[in-house]
Amino acid sequence: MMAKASGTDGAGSGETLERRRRLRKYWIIGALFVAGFIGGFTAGFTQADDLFDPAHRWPPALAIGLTAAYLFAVCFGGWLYSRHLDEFERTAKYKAVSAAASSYVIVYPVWLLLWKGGFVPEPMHFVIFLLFTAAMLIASFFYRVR
Amino acid sequence: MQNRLRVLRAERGWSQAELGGRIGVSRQAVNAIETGKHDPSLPLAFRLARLFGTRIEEIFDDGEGQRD
Repeated sequence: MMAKASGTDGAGSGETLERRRRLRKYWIIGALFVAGFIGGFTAGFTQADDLFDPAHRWPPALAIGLTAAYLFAVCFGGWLYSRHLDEFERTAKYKAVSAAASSYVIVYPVWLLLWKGGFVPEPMHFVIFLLFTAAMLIASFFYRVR
Repeated sequence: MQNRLRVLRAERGWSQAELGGRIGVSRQAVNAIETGKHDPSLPLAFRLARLFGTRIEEIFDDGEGQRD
């Protein structure tokens, strides 16, 4: 949300607006973090013994509930958060997503080919997802503070 | 792209957060523009010019002015 420029505001009003804008973003990030923690804790607590066993099936209700919560958080939370980004932050975000996509394009085929050659274990989608996310967060941090 | 944003801001005694709040961007965005790491969009450049009561080309200089 962009505030309109005004030279008639009192001194310090801009800092107040900037602080409010920053706090709104922190609240959104905090809410998404809490939601993710609750979802992860629920999955971990109820499926602790076989959390990463590919053959183990989760209760359908748990899978559907976590899927719905994840989609809501990513779609609605992402939309809400993006409304509070300025053009500098949005540009950094685009660059970060691009960097993460580039890392995926490099990592997955190389891993697949090396697996076919018998050099490494079969590609794990969960690890690739984590690598993509980590690359995005690192790139986002880099483009914001460089 | 070079700019006089830091000078104009200092003349008014504003912090980066103060300027950011007045034009609807973060303090980091103001810092990135001042240090030349981010070129503002045209709408943002107009907002800055309007806020400082000047023209865009009196704030930003792309170094091509001498050729005109």
